[in-house]
Amino acid sequence: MADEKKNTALTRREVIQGSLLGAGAAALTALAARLAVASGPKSTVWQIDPAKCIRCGNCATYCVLKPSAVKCVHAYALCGYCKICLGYFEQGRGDWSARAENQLCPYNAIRRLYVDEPYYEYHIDESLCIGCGKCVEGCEKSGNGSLFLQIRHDRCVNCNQCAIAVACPSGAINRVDADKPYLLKRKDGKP
Amino acid sequence: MTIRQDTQGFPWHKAAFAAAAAAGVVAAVIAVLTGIFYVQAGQADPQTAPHLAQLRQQLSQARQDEGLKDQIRQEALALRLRQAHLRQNMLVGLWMLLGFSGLAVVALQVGWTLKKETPAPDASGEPAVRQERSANLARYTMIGSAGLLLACAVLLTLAMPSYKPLEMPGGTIATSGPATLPAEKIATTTSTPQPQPYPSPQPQPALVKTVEGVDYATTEEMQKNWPMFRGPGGLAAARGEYPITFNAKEKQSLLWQVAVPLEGKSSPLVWQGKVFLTGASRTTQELYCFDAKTGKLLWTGKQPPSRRVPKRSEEAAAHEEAKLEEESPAREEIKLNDDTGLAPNTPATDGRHVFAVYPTGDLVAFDLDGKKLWSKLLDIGNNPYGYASSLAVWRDLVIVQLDTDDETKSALYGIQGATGAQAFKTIRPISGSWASPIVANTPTGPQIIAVGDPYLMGYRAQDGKEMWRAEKISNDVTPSPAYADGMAFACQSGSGLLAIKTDGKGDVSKTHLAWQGEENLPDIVSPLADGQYVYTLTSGGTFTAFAAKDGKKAYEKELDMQFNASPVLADQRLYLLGLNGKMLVVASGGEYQEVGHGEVEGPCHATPALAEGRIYIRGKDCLYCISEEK
Amino acid sequence: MRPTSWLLTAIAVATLAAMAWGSVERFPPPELPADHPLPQPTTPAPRGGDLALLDVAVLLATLALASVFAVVLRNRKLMLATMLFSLAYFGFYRRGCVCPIGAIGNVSWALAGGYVLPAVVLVFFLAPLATALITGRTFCASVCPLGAMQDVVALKPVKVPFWLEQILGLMAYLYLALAVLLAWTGSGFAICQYDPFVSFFRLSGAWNMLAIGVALLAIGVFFARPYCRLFCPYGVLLRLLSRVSWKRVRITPAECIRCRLCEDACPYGAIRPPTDTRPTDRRRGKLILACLLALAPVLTAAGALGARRLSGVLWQANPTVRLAQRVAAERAGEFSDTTKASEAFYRSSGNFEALMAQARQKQVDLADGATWLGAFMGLVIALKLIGLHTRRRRQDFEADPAACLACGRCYNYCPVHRAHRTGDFATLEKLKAATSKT
Repeated sequence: MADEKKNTALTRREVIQGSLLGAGAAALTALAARLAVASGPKSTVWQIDPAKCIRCGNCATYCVLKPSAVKCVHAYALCGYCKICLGYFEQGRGDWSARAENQLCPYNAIRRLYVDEPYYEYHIDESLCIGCGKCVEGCEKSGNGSLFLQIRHDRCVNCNQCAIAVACPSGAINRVDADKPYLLKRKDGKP
Repeated sequence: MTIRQDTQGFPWHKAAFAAAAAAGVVAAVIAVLTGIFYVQAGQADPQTAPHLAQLRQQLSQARQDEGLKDQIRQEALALRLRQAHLRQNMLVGLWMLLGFSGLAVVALQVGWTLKKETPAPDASGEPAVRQERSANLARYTMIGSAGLLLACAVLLTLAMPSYKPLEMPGGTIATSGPATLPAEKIATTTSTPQPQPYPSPQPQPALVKTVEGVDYATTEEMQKNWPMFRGPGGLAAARGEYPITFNAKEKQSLLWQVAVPLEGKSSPLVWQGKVFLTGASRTTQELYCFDAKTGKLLWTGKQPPSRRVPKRSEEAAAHEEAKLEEESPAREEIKLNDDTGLAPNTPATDGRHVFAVYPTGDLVAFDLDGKKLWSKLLDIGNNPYGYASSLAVWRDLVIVQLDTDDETKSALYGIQGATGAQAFKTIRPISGSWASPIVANTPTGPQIIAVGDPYLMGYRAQDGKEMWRAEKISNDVTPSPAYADGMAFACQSGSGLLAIKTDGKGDVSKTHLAWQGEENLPDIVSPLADGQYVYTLTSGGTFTAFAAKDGKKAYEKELDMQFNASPVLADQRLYLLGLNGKMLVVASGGEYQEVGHGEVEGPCHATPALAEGRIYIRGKDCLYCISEEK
Repeated sequence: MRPTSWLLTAIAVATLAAMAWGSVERFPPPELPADHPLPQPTTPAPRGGDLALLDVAVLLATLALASVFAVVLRNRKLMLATMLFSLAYFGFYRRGCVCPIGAIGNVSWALAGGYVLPAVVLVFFLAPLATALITGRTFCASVCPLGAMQDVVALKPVKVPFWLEQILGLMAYLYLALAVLLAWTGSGFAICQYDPFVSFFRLSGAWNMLAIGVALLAIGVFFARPYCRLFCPYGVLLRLLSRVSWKRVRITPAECIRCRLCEDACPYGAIRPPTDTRPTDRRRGKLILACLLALAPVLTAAGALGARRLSGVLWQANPTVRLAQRVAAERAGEFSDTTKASEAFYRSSGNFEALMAQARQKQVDLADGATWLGAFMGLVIALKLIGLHTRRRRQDFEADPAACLACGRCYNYCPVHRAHRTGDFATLEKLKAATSKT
């Protein structure tokens, strides 16, 4: 008798358990279905919109990586190739020789190549650049605006909560599709 | 992991612990070293290193010091290399730290497992009973804690300041009692409401835009002085009596004459014994304060241009370039016409502060003694001839008419004079204008009236809400509006002279147009209305008077002079200042009657200022004060 | 003279035309010499789609293996190996992203309509939950890198009183509710921001989180897996599903001989003793149960109201609300300077009324969300109380299905398991005889 009671008690519990399991599975499936509707195959990555960026310098300090995953990028097609580049030189010096005391970049990350008088080509050395935006500010205010900041995806870890995105005062950092991960400045004005 | 008894023979667990201790010590040492590297790398940052910054500071004082330059180069290089080196070390250190910590942990685990004794059941009583007791205890504690939390929450709600929901423009939604949240949800949709660039002119609940405790000049005080372009409210009418004949060369009725250091086409301002004038060069923008009685320069307020002014001509380029590099920082370039000049915008005062704006977009505020209070950089956008509108004031607000060639960006701003904080911004569907706004006390309340292509518009002065608009302008407009007796007048050389009644709402192009004149339309000089007549003056010298009621031409006179300055009304007389420096004083009314004339050395582009019985005229590089007093 | 104004107009038209036709740069780009091509900016691609698929494959494989090792093969060594592999792969190689715990934020935001959830994240979120339904919390023991970090330092786990753990465990529910609320309203991804161990994986991070991580590991030496047991929001979901899982970790593979050798085997205190003794006072028990059931709606309502009242604190967590408050204060003259954020707002010619409307809506959303949060917490407490009161009849020493992390440490304590493993049933019979006498 006791055995039968034990059996039926167990079976009752098993039934409850089984139905709860079924309910759990159903709930999970429903959630999965609902999320599948809200999901897509594309992954997203973070990127800076150069049109919104105000060159505040937060990118260099707030990124979880040191040095930051944000680097200055050069849109050569927009560059004026100026001998006196105001993203390269610091204003107020009066001396346009390419020496350390005249350079805007504290890390010597901009390389200047002679092309043809009076044109010079400027390259950013990403291993030195920290994304502070000083050259971008200079170029934007006094030049053609061909230098701009971008998150480099060979470095970016793609944090769920981008620390720079939280700190960006102008909301310039947003998620973009992973297969179009850059918002480059182009000559025809289109992003 | 298998359980083993204490083994006889080699005490492996002790060896494991020893290894763990050793690894732990190494890890600790590495941690300290890595910490040191981190701190040092921070100090060696070329951006923030204080010594390098100091050297750079020194260099900006002694620009030619080669030794200093050498020092900077070496130090910068040294810092960069050091920082890179330290960073590298730090990275290696971190990996090693991880490795040795991991090693220590693994060794500890191994040792612990080796040391572990066979477990024996806990002898402190039946496990089931213990479990039940524990469960009961958990229940009681949980109820207790929940109760405690609730009590805390209640106390906190009573003790904490109530979190106010944000106040929407238009007043808060009513809340009841000490509740911190609205009683019902707001009726707005869940999606972001679209910002409306052209607000529908519905009457809104009154908004107090002025900050409590801030004082501003009364209307009386304003009327007695000359606080903005074309006088109080921009209506070009002065109080008091003024000389009607003068000659600066012969010193007749000339009280004083002072040189103005920098050029500009802006008009003077007068406030209770002080005269203000702006001037600018490519390297500096200045506001001068002269004593009204003696002409002595009391103070100069300076604002370095935040945007670059383009070069004028090739000859001046080299000299200016050098001056530019020495004195001013780099900025974006603005578009500016040679004719517009570097300081075409007339400043304004609210009786407590003086505000100056320049074509570079710099808006600066000083107090009446010259202390700079705040400055703002306006987004002037694209303006083909240059941004030349003058400021207006209403109470404690500075009114800025910023029209660019982009309709979605042109706006009328109201900025609080004391702080520079924006009080309102109303987008205007205007694609460019060079007129200035006026502030008129209409029968329906104080209004800001501004003209641009294609509208003449009236706004409520308190909050910049658009009241009415008339689509009557068809091209670039430079003359500013005029107002008298409930009617606003605007003219544009292609579209006509419009008279619009100011008590309308919304689009009044058809409903409130009193009349429209087609003759003798000026392209630069602003019209003047005295209530009876509207006077226009073309730049070629055609002076016309129209009846204000119906636009019927009263008379027309060719003055054979060129004019850039707008006419001013004082003491029932019109003061017309010609480009060549000659001034004609004409009686107001339906017939042309010359009653006086004066002369200063021209060219005179700026409208004169009349206040306190004195006429202030900006002539060739100097400011004249014409007065009958000695 | 008229011609001046015509000239001005002509210049204006020409300039406007030039600006309209093409982008007129201040300094026109030059014609480069023929042998010098125009360089292009480089665009290094992010980690490719194929590698993301690899991550998913590795996740599913490790989950499957962990489940097999835990429930079928009952081999702790294999589970340890899987755990270390997961620590290396998901922890140090992938640097902690994407993780199912953080995915809670993504899922909440996607449900709120904030963005499109990438499929990879969806799989990362659902796969461990599905596994929990099948074989219990095998994700926790063998796959989660955060759990692995804590597990390796669990050297001398101390038994914590049951009631204390129950109360402290409520923090995980609160964390889950807060994280969902904040992600739902677009205020931020709290779980990722406050992940204590990710700074170890990335070898850099915020000082405060690094300190918290070190502190948790230090605590973890004595109180095993503190984050997992007290804070993990994903753990809340896993607990729920693992209660009703199809298969789970059983200490003994066959019968329990009640030798009590496994009693203190679990470093996480998840082993429950058999309770087949009759309760002493059924009537009193039923009365208490009735009271608790009646108390449940009261607690839920109290929680809802209390949280709504206090929700003002949450407004500061939302950046839109903070910006609107700052801009409104600046306009009212409370501050004479601007922050970078308000400066950026003015520069972008932001519409103040639109900002206020958005911020107001966020405040309402947060207040509503807080109400749900409070109700949820009240309900959780009520259910816990009922759960603690009701007694399940247990025949054997069992691993609590909710709290058991499926690590398999208890297996080797069980003589029945060892007998099955080694084939030595003689020792087992002796032990059975010994224990049945006591």
